[in-house]
This record gives sequence, C-alpha cells and structure tokens, in this order.
Amino acid sequence: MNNIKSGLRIMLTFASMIGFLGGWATLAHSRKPVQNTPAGDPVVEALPTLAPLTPINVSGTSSDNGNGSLTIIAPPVRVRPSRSFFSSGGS
Amino acid sequence: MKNMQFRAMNTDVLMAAEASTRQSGIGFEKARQFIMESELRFTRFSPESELSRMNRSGGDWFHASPDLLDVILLAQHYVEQTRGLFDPSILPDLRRVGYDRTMDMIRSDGVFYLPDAAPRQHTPFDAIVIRPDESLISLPHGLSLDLGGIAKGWIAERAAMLLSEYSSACGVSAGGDMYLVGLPKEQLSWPVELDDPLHPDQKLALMHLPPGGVATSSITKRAWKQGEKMRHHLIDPRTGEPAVTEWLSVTVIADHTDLCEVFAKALLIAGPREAQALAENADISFLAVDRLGNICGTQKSLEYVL
Repeated sequence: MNNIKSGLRIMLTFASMIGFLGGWATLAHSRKPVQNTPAGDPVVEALPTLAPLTPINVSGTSSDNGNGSLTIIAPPVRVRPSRSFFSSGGS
Repeated sequence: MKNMQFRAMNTDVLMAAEASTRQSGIGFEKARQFIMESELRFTRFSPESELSRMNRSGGDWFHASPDLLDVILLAQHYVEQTRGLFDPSILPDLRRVGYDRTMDMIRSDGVFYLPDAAPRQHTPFDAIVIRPDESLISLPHGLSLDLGGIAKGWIAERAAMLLSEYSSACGVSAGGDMYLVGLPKEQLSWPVELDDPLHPDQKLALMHLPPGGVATSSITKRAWKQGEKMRHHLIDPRTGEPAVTEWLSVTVIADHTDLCEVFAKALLIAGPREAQALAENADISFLAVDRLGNICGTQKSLEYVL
C-alpha cells in the first residue's frame, strides 16, 4: 500500500513538473503582444485640444467696483424749478 | 435729476444726470475734468494749446494727439458734406473782423482793430495734408484753424458719454450744444427750451427731443461792433466776412452733437433756399428762427415742438 502511495506521489510530482516546464516553453516561444504592431510605425493619437477658458470679468460696472479710491468733489448743485433744465440758443 | 453748472469754453456748461448723489457726483467730476482738459487742448485763445501749436507749425509735420486728430478728420468730412459752408480755416478772417480774444474779453474791453481794407488772404481747409496712420498733420503756411464750434460739440458728446457710465439718463450742454443719453424717468423725450435769438432771456418753444445731439447757431449772441460795422462770429467761408443771413438762428437735431453744430452753422449761412437740400442730404432735422421770431423747419423737426 505504501509503495502504491509513493508511486502516485512520484507520478504527480513528475506530471506537475512536466506541465510546468511545458507551459513555460509554450509561453517562451509564443509572440509577445507588442509584436502585433508593425515596428517603426507607431500610432500617435493627438490629445484633444481644450478650448481656452473665458476670462472672468472682474471690472464690473456696479457702484462699488473700485471707484471708492476716487476723491469725490461735491459739485455745486443748483436746481431750476422749470420742467426743462436745458435750453438751446447758441452761445 | 441731479445737475451741475460751471463755466468753461467761454460758455455755460450744464450737466444733468439721473443717478444717486454719490454716482452723479463721480460722473459730474469725471465729465468736468474731461471738459477742462479738452478746452486746454482745443482753445485758440491760449498760445500753449495743442491747436495753437499746430497753427504755428505751418509747413512742417505736426504730431497730433488722438483727440485733435479725431476732430480734424471730422472737420475734413464735414467740409465736404457741407460743400464748404463749414470751413474751420476761417480763423484769419475771424481775427480780421475783431474776434481775436475771448468773447468775454471783447464784451468787456471792446474790439482793438478797425476793419482791415487789405484784400483777403485765405488758404482753404482742403490744402491740409493728413496722414491719419501716423497722426501727422501738415498745415500750409498761412492756414490756421478755429475748431471752436465743432470741438465744443465733440467735447459735449464725449463728456455726456463719460457721465452716462454713472447714470441711467443724462445730458451735457455746452452753451446750448448738447448730447442727451437715455430718457428721464417716466418720460418719452427730453424737454429742451428753444431760446429766442432776439430776446435771450425768453423762450420761443419747448422742444421734445429724443436721445442724441442738438445744437444751435445764432448770429445775435456773439456779436460786437468794429468801428462802425456790426460784426458776428459766423463767418461765411466764401467771402471771409460775417455771413449775411435771413435767419437769426438755426437749431439742428441729429445723432451727434458735432454734426449738429457744424450743420447749424452751414444751414444758417445757406439760408432758406439751400438749407433744405443740405439737410436732406445729411439726413438731419432743423428748426430756423427768422427775424420776426417765426420758427420754420422740416416736417420732422416741427414735430419736436408740437
């Protein structure tokens, strides 16, 4: 019985080794994946060009857009009671 | 509506703007500064002004500022469009008839020179050579320019545009040459009074004007006596003498104030027989006041006073 067991072990060991070596040899002699592309003719795909970003408008036109640094000289305001402020007649 | 008044360009400048006190204050000051700087550039009464320096450059190339070049190019266009009835090269004629100082000085001190009997020496505006790309202007010897009227209109319009950055509706008037931006709140037009040329303190009509330009030229306001002769500032370029006109004043309503100012002069000189054709050609409206105080004009312009 022990002899049968030992024989089986030896057979399994050899079978494993032969399988392993056979697989190695097969893979070693098979074509590598890069060999599918013809050498010296690489395909280079251009990266997509991004559209330029729209600049952010920081100037603004509102009342508090930086005009605060100006010196304000209060004008002498005179209000005419007439409905019409302007008149035209030559100067 | 906030407003501001001050004296510049030998006339009263009025500004009105619909805006907050703060915003109108900033806008008024920016517009006022622009007007004062422009006056220094365009006045013929200061020997240091850019215009005076150009007038002294006869025969040489003069490098003009963008503003001066802009006005000179406009003048060139209007000389053609008015068929020479507007011609800023009449400055020697103005001096010859006594208008050699500001009107304020003439009013207070009188005219120094008696009428000159010597024949007129006049080089017309089209003798000027302009290289716009290089900002170069060459005036022939003897040619000098008075840009008073056209520059006043040009300045008023640009000052109004500056002021409009701070207001929803505004107007700038330089002695009645004005530019109006937008419309006053809840109104369909700008109310503008038409002065009576015979009675300056009285009004002839109330005009209802759209945004844009308006200017009046009159022979009654800038007038003086030279010897025994009555003179006024409106020189007829064809004769070099103060124009003999049937109308006392002409008011023009159009898109731009410089256009209004130029055509108010040209139509006043042209008179009733030529004015309508000139106005139709330029697509402008005008109102003329005759010596009896009657107002006449194109159908479109009459609608402004009804």
